[in-house]
Amino acid sequence: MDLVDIVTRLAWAAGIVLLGLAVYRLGNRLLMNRAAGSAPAPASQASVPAILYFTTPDCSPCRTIQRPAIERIKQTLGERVSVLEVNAYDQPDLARKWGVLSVPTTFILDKAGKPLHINHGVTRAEKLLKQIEPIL
Amino acid sequence: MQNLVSVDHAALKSNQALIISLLILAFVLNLPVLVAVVCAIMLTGSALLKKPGFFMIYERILKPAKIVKPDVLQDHREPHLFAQGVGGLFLLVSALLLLIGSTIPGWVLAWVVVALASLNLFGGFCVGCAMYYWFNQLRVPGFRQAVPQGTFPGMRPKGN
Repeated sequence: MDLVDIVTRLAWAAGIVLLGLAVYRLGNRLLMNRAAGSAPAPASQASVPAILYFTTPDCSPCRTIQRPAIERIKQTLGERVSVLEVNAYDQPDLARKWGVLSVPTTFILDKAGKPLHINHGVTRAEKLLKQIEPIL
Repeated sequence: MQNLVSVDHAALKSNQALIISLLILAFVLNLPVLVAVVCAIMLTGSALLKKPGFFMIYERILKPAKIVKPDVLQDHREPHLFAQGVGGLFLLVSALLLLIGSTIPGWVLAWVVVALASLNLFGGFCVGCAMYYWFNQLRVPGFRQAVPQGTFPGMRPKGN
């Protein structure tokens, strides 16, 4: 097998991976559009971006990792960001409308309450910050 | 009845990452034998060891070196083994097709396994597990475990 073959196959592999990423992002985008169209965000503080955080009382990674990460964001950004925590057990209809299948799930909402990012599973503070900073 | 056991999801994710990496490497280097090796490891893990195929790499290298932290959840082991077995069967057909010279269908099947493992690794959705739970709901013999309470079939169970 020569180098040209390897490079060609590498290019194909990269193309397939990129296509997969695009499909994944499109899926997330459709999910967010559905959420934005069908379910109003819970009451949020006026005109600041928000983290909509779906959790449950028995979710261990929520307690040990996700909540501290969100606390860190709150400490860093103060009143410039609002955190809307939803117990998916107490509000199953809201969780369903937002397409939440597991906890923790976090959405980043812009100042108008429109979802811009969705994070399935535990998300580090750095990633959340990176998603919020452009809309502050 | 929810007879859940401790399942380390970090071991499952390490397994998926290794399967994806090795299959992409096999494609780039055009090594059908590597597909066959990954297939054998996955099927052995599901049928004989009852563990993720690359469990030893996680247990002996990744976990001790703290490259991956354990993520133990109360879950059923069987759906994950079933999912791995389905992936292994796909790779078995893939390896056989590559062996007889049907390269395009062979590699397409290998990429299907890469896609499904990636969906599980990055999206948190296990298609094989969802299939297992659907078979359970349809009362197919052998699929005894029901989806953990409050969990969507195929998604990670809630922590506890």
